[in-house]
Amino acid sequence: MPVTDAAFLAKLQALSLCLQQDVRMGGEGARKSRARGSSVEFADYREYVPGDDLRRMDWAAYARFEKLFIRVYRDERDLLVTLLMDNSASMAFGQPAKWQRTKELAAVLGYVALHKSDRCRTLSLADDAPPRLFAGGKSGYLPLAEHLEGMQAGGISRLRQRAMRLAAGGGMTVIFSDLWMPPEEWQACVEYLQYTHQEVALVHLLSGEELQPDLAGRWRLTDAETGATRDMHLTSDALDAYQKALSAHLEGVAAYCRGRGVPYCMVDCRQPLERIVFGPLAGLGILR
Amino acid sequence: MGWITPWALALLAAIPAILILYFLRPRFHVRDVPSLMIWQQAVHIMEASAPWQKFRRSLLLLLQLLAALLVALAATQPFFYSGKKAADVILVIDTSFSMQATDVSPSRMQEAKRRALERVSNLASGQRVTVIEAGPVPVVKASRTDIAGARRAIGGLEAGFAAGDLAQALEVASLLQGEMDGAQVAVYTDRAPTQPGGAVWETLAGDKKNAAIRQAAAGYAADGTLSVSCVVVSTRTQGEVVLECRVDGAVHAVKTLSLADGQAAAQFDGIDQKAQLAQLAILTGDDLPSDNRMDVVLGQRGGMRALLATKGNIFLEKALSLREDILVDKLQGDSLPGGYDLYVLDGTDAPGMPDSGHALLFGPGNHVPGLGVGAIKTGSVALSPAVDATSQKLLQYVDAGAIVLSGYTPLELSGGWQPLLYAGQDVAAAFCITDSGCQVAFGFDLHASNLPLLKDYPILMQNLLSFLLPPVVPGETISCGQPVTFGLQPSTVEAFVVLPDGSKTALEVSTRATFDQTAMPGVYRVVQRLDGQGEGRQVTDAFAVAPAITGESLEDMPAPAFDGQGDGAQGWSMLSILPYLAVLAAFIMMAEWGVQHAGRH
Repeated sequence: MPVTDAAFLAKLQALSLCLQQDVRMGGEGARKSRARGSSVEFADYREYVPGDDLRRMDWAAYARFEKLFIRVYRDERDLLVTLLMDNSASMAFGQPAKWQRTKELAAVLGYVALHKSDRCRTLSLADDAPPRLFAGGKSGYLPLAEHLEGMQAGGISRLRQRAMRLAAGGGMTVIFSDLWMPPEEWQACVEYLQYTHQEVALVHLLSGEELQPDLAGRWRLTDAETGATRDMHLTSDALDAYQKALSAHLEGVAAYCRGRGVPYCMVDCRQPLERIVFGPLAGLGILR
Repeated sequence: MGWITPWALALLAAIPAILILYFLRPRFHVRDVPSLMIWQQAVHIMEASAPWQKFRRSLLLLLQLLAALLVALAATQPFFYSGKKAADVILVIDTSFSMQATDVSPSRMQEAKRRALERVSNLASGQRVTVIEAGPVPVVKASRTDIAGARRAIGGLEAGFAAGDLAQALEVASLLQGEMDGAQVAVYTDRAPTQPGGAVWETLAGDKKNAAIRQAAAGYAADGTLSVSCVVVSTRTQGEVVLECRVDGAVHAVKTLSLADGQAAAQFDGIDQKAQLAQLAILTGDDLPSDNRMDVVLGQRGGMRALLATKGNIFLEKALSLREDILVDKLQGDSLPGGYDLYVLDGTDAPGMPDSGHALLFGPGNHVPGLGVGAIKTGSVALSPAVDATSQKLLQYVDAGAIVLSGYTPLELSGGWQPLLYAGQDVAAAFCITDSGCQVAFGFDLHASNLPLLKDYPILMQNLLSFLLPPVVPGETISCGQPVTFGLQPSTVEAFVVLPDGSKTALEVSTRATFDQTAMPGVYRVVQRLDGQGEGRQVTDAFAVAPAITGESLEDMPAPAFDGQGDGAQGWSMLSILPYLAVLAAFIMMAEWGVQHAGRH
């Protein structure tokens, strides 16, 4: 079961997810919203129109300006955090597997959200399982953890197709993927989510063998998802070229995300979970 | 330009092999990866779909092909001719006894073979070789053969024990050279060059130190024992040598001889008269040990039987007693018994002629086939000899003119009879050689002449007995290679010779059998199976053969008449470029290693 260490969970209690924009939609919660509501937090003045609640009349303003003004207060909403988890076959590689890290990181974000009375929703990208919603505060973490534990990796990622099943609305969507798909696939997904007023964050997971392959000689490489093969003569020059290509690929992803205002971090799955959470994940800017 | 081993061009097959390996799809290990995306972007080595890769310029491939080409060319051993090219080569190799000498290490013969093989190895593939063995008789061991055949022929040569006839071998080579346009003759011998021009002469002779037993003989001493005497000679030796005499295998005596004068004589006395074989041996080592031994056959086989038919002729009895190996019986009765080797018939009263066997006739009657007798003539007449070779031999050391007859019967010859002595115009004595035996007839009685009184009489009788009953085997030691004539007995039905190595050679049964298989030194035994009187006797005689001494053992090398190089000796030589190709190939391979090590394919 991912993330059951009580000490680590205690550290997570100090964290909360932060948005760059106010929550506009959602149920009643603990997050301040720009919407006008019935909370005790003063927001602004406006002129009295017949029908307003006279209990909100600001008599001091009337004495000063000889006009009738009433006080307006902020409304409080909860946050829906959607966790899009790439469970394609390529996520099964690595020591530990990228899929394992994905579930652990999703559990971390889910715990942080539930602990702050936010709601959490999970959606796998390589199968047809429906999205699962978790709420109810900290007590909702256990069902979340059990659900994550039962998720399996395999198949081919359908990020864009699966993301479009989600209903439009505000909130935060965190994509966990190794992005071994055509760029237009995941970029279209990001753009769609942003169009639906989601704040999107991208967690790019890579394994050690992808970051630093230790192959040499003549190899027939088989794509784990497509089954395509390619014969390679892996000399030192070839491995150098691989590193250059990988660096260019990562830079391209980061540049796109910067351009779209999408928080992005690349996670080396070989690192311990805590270091990832308080390192690259915290660097996303969605935790504080 | 030519190639010594053109078949090595087959090594060029390495070039397509290298190309095939280069283009052939290599074997791969299989591995699953999360995605080929980055690999496809990064690695550009091979396309997965086609079995052959595209040709790419590769320095390593070029160096490998160049190295393979150089190795193949080097293996063909290319060379350039630097002069006149000879089409064929004729090798004359001396295999005489002196080539066994070890003054040239390991021996003159081995050195000659080595040099000949070396010359053959430097020939081009198209050149033909003829090998002539210069032994007692020149033998063409290989005629216009290839290099491999020449090597086999040369490898099979060995120095013998006989004297070699190099002059005749050179004559054969000269005849063959005339038939092969431009052929080069090369001579390998220990003799000095004898022929200017035309031949390459390789003289193989060092400072030979040699002592040899030149001759040995046995004789009876006054006390009836046997003695063996010999002469030892030397070249450039050796102040003293040790000479050993063994009798029937046991050491009889050892003597030390001084060779300060170049030769020394030795005599070994007190040998039992029943001894069969004496073996002399020089124990001191020298450069030609094969002539340090000599065998002397001691045992004389007695038993040749003669029948004397006479009414009393002391002269004939005395004459027959000159040969100790002849047992003489006197005729008893009126008929001639068979089984005798010699019939001495005195007078016309002799009872006919024998069916076989030799015959010595005095005053024969008309019963001798081919021989007629005329009327008796009286009066003093001196004899004169016939001039043919056999007559000269029979009358050697005999003054025929001193023989005076007081009466004789002229002989009328027919068939195979030939005159031996003339009395005026008449034939007074004649001889005949037939398959059944030899016959000598005198047309006079010994008592009617002064012959028995002459000092020539025993000489004449010895000559006649040697002709009629020659020793089966020669009494002297024969040199290797020298043919031997045996005097087989008329009653012999089968004869063969046992050689020193134990092998047997059959002899043609005739009164004179020639044997020429005397190549090896040692004791030879002549065995005759006789058919006489139903007994089936077998008699054995022995003779010794020694290595050729004269002209072989002791010859010093005279100063060469010329430089022995011949007109065409320096006519051609081969400049091999193999070393240059090998060095270049080595540099190419080092460059290839360097390129591969640097990874700059």
